[in-house]
Amino acid sequence: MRKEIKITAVVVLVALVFSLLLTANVLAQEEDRYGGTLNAAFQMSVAHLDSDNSTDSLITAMMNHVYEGLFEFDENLNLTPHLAESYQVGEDGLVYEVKLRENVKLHNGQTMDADDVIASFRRWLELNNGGQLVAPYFDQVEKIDQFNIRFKFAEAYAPFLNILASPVSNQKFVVRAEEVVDEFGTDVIDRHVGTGPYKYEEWVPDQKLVLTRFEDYTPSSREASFFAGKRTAYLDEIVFNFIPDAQVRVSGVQTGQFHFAEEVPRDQYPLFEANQNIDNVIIYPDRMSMLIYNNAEAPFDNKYARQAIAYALDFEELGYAMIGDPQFWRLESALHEEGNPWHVPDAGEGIYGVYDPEKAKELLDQAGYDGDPIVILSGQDNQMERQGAIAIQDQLEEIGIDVELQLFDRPTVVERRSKKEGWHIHLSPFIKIVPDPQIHQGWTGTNKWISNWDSEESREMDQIFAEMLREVDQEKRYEIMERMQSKLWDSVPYFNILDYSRLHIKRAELKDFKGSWQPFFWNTYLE
Amino acid sequence: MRNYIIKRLLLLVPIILIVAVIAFFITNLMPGDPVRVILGNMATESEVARLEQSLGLDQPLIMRFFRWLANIIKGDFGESLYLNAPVSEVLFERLRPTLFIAVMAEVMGITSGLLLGILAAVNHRKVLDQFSITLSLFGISIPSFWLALMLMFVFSVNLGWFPVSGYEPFAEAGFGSFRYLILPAVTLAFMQAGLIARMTRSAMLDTLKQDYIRTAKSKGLSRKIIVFKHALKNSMLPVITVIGHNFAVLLGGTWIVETIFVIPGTGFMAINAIMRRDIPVIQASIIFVAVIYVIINLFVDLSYAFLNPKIRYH
Amino acid sequence: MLFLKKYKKYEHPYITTSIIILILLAFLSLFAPVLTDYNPVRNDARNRLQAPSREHLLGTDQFGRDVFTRILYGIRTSMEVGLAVVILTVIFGGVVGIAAGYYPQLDKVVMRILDAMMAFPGIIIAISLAAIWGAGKLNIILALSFAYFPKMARIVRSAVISIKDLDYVDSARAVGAKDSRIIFKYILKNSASPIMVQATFNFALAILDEAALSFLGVGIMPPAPSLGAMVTDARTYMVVAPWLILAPGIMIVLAVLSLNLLGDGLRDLLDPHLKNTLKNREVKK
Repeated sequence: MRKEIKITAVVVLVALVFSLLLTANVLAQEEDRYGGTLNAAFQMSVAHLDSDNSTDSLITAMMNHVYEGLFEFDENLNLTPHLAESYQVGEDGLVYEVKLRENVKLHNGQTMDADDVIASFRRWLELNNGGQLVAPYFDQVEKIDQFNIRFKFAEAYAPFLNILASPVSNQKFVVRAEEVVDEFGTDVIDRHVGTGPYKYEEWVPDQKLVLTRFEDYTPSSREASFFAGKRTAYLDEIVFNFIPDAQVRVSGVQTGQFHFAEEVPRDQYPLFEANQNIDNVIIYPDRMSMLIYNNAEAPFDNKYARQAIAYALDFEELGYAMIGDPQFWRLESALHEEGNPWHVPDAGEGIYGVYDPEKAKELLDQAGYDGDPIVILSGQDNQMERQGAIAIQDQLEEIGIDVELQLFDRPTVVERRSKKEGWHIHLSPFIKIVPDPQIHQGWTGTNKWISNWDSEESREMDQIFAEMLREVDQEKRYEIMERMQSKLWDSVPYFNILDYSRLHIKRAELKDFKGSWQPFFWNTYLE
Repeated sequence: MRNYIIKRLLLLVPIILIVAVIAFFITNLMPGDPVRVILGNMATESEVARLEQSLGLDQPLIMRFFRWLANIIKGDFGESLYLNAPVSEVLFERLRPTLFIAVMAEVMGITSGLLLGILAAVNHRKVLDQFSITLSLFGISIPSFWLALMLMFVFSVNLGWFPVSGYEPFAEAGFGSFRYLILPAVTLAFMQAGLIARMTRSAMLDTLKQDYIRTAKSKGLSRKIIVFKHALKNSMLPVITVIGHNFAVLLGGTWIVETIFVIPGTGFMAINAIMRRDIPVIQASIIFVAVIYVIINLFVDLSYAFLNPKIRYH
Repeated sequence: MLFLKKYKKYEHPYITTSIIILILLAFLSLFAPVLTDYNPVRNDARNRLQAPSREHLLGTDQFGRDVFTRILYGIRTSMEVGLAVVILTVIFGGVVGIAAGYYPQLDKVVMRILDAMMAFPGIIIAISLAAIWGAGKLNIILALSFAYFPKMARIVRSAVISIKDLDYVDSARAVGAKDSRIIFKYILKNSASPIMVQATFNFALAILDEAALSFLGVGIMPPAPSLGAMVTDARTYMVVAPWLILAPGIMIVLAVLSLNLLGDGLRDLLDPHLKNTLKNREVKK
């Protein structure tokens, strides 16, 4: 009997020791993950850090580490409560009641409550162009109690929650400390108090933004998935460096100066593959290259002329010219890609990707095109815009259409495009990743800056759009979406040429990095 | 002599005034809309108008000019549209790396240029001479931006001797900050060296032909003494002039190398300002460069007159 | 005539070499359409970034265009711009310089303005003007001419001043010769040398600066080939397609080098006194 006990005791002891060691090892690995300073290279610098006061998506991308939203999207584009605990939609979409998480710490040590959210929301509604989309339908926001808020609408507005979490440009609603909102009002905020895993340390314009870990961060209890769920700040410090030159970004990663570089030349992909120290991060095609017409000026005030150009272009060749390696782009006619619930499979059938110069010329005749040179206006600083413009000019000239190419620096492009005359075609990269078709970057209604579109057709589109806004039923909304797509391909105020991917690179020692529509550095660590 | 100095100093005033006029009108005649760039594509007309007004950009040109002139006399260069700080502050901050690069380039250029020029002159018509001529010709013929990229490619990307880009200020990295400045300085030094070598060579050749050199040789003085003590000293005048006059070009060159190597100096700041129409910064940068050039020229002319009493401004 | 006599008298390795290179470049740029079948601006994107081969001597760029062809046409552009700039600079600089040198009242005002203009490095004036007027070949030519002519004016003015008071001019004036006759007969003849030398250096400078302007994005508009713009484009592909950046750079160096050589040689030939007279503080760039 004693022998058995002894053996059992030994086995148990060994098991205990073993599991202790294992746990210690795992814990130590977790512990090991903490620490280090990350240097990331981004291509543009920002004018300031206030996402409500600008449309620059980089501001939001960086400040996502400092501020969080009531709702966030996960990797499947599912809306997930984040700073919100839960919510309820009542009265056919006229009332939203949101319950907040109760123990979330702000960077100033206080606990986030309804006052902070309401103050931030009012500011967002007034300044942020996401808020301005909501404002016409909105009635008022009420505080129920310290952790409960009611949003009341005058008219039902289906995209509301999606806009709050929007990954597009600057649209996302983030929660700031009430004291800061009170202090700055509508002026540009330069003191940052949020709830995020990192806090603001230092910003040197044109050079860098430095964030340091917020030790008292209160993470969400949900599972981590892109922007939703638990965020763990392994890195001590994150430095966003502004490096406009792509080659310099690349070289920085090759030499180890940077751990991450966004938007690097896709043509160097094989080099990175061959390099043991560098990993490629291909973001799935989340950008569209849009060809935008000036719908107010002849010849493109006539829809036949607009259709003509679509037939006149060899989209595949454009893909090679604009982007390059085919693994980074694909032809896609719908505004939403396959897999997205709003994808319309047969959008643009018969016209998208159909290369028919003869038909193009017929249509141009039909539209009464007089042969005046077509002005293509594009920015020098964006590769897609620049190479696209050159490629389109070449293709059009080859079939006998006169083109004047105007490539300018960004301020001049912005100025010229805001005018109603002087340009005919403009290229622009649009973000494709949109969880709701009505917060689509390009679709903030007709007569806005992108289109100069003001005709019977545009008014019909306005009506379709308004219908969709009111329709809360998903299936019915999808049907309206189908109508919208077919109308878009009929009157073609603008159209998407193709979808493309961006290539980022990172050092191999940066682990667990997930490539999403905007780069983020929580839940990732340095080995 | 004193009259000459006073006269030159007085002449500075009209020159700088004209410079200010040129700087202002060049900047404000550039097309492009900084307001819309700041506000983004979706800005409404009222937002644009609001920002324009708060920036004072809606006033007529002449009024803005006089207001600006009045301010700069007080030392107030306005506030940058993008950098959220007074222009004078920003300029001051960015001065150090630019000065470092310029001085390093100048020193490298002078030492190698002088050496090359002397070697050439002393070995006139021999291989060393041809070699030096060719080398200095290349120095002034290579486009600086291309040279910068080549150097970056070889020494930073492939050999890894220097960082590819960026900068750590002296306060943080001490002497380590020079690592970032070496390649930019070398790029600029190539051209300086070429120019200085050429001038040194021809000045030395002329001097060496002079009678007193022949006398010294016949006296039996060693070659080294002749070259360094007599010939070189007397050839320095045109060389100094070349150096002074090219300092402005050097400053212009820093705009390009700073952009390529991403060094946050005054040149990079100026190029960025032009690219996004940061009007106060563009104006200040143009004036800054011009004033430095005028002052350096004054210096050169004065030391010239000082060193060679035979020449005077008529 | 004197020129040719002097030329035959000495050995002129510089001038000879540079003229050979320049003739070669001129040949390449003039006969570009004959030397190559490809169109420099027609795209063929499916064949992008190909390495040098028999079909494409210097490979293809990111649009599938033949690099060798673009280099040839790029040389042509550089030559055109350089020549145009030189002509304009000589005309403007000459006129202003002669006026200032000959009429002292004008001189004071003009010199102040020229001094102020020369306070800016040429590249900065050119960038600013190009930003104002917009990019494009004509604007670049104008901007560069504007940046260079003060220097030329200065040189001409010095030459005029040194001639103006000489005996034979005085006697011509005393005999009643008109100002314009004096100018053309004596002054132009004597300022010809420094003008030629400076013009050659300006040619070199124009090529370099046009390349720099195109590099910064304010130069020749795409798709027109420009050696500087080709370097810019090639930057992104430097590591995967190094021929794209080497070829245009080498071409620029060649052109500029030969012009500088020519300038040196001319100066040695025409007036050895010009070399480093203490009065003439010439700037080579």
